[in-house]
Amino acid sequence: MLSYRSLVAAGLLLIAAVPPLAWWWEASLVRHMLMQIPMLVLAGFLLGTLVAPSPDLGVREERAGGIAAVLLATFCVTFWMIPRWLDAAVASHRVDAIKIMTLVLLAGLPLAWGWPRLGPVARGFVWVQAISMAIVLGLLYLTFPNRLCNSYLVNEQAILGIAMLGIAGFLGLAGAVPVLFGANNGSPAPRHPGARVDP
Amino acid sequence: MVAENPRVFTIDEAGRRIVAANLVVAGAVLLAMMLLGLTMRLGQSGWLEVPPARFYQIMTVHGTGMIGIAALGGITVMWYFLSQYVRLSTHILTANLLLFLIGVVIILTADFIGGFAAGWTILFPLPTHGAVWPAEAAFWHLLGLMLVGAGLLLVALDFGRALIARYGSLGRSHGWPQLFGLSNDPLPPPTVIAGTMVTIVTTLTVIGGASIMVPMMINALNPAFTINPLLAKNVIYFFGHSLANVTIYMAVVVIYELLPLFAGRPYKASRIFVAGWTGSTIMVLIIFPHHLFMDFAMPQWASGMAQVLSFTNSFPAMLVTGFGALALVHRSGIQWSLVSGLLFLSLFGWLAGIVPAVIDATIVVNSVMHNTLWVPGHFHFYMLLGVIPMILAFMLYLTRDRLGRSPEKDSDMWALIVYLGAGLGFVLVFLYSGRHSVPRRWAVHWPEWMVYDRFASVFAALVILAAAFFIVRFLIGLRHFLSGR
Amino acid sequence: MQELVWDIALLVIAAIAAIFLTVAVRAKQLIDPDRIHAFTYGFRAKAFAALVIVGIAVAVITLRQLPYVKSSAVPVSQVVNASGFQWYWDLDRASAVAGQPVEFRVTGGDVTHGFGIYDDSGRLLAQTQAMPNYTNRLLYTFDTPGTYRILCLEYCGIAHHGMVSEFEVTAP
Repeated sequence: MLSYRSLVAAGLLLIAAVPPLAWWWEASLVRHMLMQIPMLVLAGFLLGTLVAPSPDLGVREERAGGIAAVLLATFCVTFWMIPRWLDAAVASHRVDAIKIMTLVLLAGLPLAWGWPRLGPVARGFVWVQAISMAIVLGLLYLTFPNRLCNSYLVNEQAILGIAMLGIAGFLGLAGAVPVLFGANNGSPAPRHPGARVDP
Repeated sequence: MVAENPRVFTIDEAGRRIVAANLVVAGAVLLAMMLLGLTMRLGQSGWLEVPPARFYQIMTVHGTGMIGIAALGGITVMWYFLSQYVRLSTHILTANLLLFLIGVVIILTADFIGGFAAGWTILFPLPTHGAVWPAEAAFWHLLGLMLVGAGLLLVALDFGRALIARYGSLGRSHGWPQLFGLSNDPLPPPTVIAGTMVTIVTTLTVIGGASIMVPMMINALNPAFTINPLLAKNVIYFFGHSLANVTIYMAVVVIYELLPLFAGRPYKASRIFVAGWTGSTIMVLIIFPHHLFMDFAMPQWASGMAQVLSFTNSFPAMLVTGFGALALVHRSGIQWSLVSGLLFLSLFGWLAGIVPAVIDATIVVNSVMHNTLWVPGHFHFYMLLGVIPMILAFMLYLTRDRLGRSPEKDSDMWALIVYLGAGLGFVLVFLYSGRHSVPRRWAVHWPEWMVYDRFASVFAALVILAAAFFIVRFLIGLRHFLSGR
Repeated sequence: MQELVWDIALLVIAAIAAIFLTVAVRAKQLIDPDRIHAFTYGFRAKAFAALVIVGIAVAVITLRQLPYVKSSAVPVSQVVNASGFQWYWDLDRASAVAGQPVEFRVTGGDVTHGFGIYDDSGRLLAQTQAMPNYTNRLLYTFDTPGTYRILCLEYCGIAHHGMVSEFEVTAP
């Protein structure tokens, strides 16, 4: 059975991970970081939604599992943001294969499983961290005078830096608009003010 | 258009415990930081031998710690009153306290043992160019700050979640549909509007803080990674200014909620109130370049804008909260008590503290006042006589002085008078030293300045006595509050 | 400037204190809240208008005399290159002639410092930040000959208070 989502996932994998197209993405720092890696994570995410059990929200274990899954995905993506490993992936096809597999299976997949299980505070926390990390990367790439990656040139770093700041701005707006202007009508006042609830 | 304030505040047992724990920590850290402050003034006055390296460690801990407890106390005040309108999580507030405590331990270790002393508003590249402290100390200090920030972020996100669950969006809980004439529904209560502002500003502040702490931490680990010092300074002051400022917007709800009880009149939100708070939300976030007037490399429009906005940023405080609260008290037959007295004092401290701040936010004045003791004069005014009395009033309200019914003792009024008198004396000495160009953050003072430092030391000691009196009073009454009577 | 600033601050703080004292003292003379409401909110509109007018006036006057130097708007014959280091000032010349403008080109050699010019009575005359990667141009004309001092006005580490240099100004 081929669903729409599995087709898109397969298409993304084909475009992003199969040589020589994969090498074309990796030939440029911006294409590598901002196109290939997101495509791989997105492919894993779509696959994850196909095979994930639907979350039983409100169960404490489910929520803890969600945090663990998103943490795993965060570590995996962070790892491949480090210039040294990016270089290694360009230099060695074996490392590149590991990169592709881990981004699909250890970042995209767990994200699809974990994200729906997160409560609103945890989601907000991840979102806010993503914004500040994009700013951090933007500042570093933009102002670092020397080459961070052996495989790429300095002027590409600056473009990536600006793109990262743009991503931070986009994430900020995408988060702020629904939060500030969301159309939900709210709910009545709590009957017992001051009562505690789980977030 | 009228939102009545609740007559009785309720809180369950878990909530009482964590609120009490936060306030005990805030009170204890406050006294410790005040003693460190006194140590600095004694060192400058020549009455006490404080080695410069130790002085600057103390200065770093004092500044960081005071902002920390202002935020911890402020957010506890906000949590307590906001929980009367929306459902908040005690788990999150507990997580915040744990992160705060871990952060404090790390910062104290990094500063007093590791020797880190780059000040509270850390200017890149000083953390890794300290000459006497290792880069690891800088790394740990920054990590401690990150943990404290993460705790505050969690609470702010929980506020946001609860406000959205109740009102639909932060725009609605801020009263924007009513402000722009899109809705005729009653406005949210003042505390909800203030809580929305605090949610927005705290979240953005932590984003800014993390965005500059992490590059500095990377720099501490690997000096090859550097950032532009002017850009770093902009982000540091976006973070530092906004965080220091938002503490008063957290704590001020104690005035909106308690003053009406003493005055016997309701505090009403109005469209002007919403407009004022909306202005504050925006202006607090963009006036930070007034810390960079002496950086001539800054674009002139940024400096000019910061001067003008620093003027207008005082309008909401003066005309909305200040006017509103004074009108509430005026000829109301208010019951004067320790709590209502502290509330009234805190309002005065806030409004009067704005005056030296606005004056120094004028570029031509800044040329001869920046980084003199005028600057600590202004922020001690608004912290010592504004934020802290708000938090103290809240503590004492919870533990002994509900509705001012309990009889007041003479000692209470004396403590209040000493706190006001000595506090005012202490900040005026700072301002007067600024008038005489005494530079800020100097461990060793020239002999001609020491007379001011000696006055300041005496005033500081008296303030600490009065503050200790209030905090002991709070601790004595704590069992009372915890029993939930 | 410093005296004026101090006087204004004290005056306005005293005025605010007087308002608070009046409200506190008269708190027991009860009055109908509606009358207070009408009175104070009418007064608030006037206070708002007054603040706006005063604010605009002050802004217009003060924003016209900014200390920021546009590149060579004035021909300056005396130029001093100043760099701040932990913990000393490196000045390429330590004297100037009174009555003629001096351009200080100020930068930081390691961390950020603050370049503050003090006269012999200990009064701060002008300042600019001394930041690495940036050179700030501070224009100042010394009116009277004498020994001036350069103090560090931005915290720069544990010997910050020791960063003092002398600067001689001679008669023309």
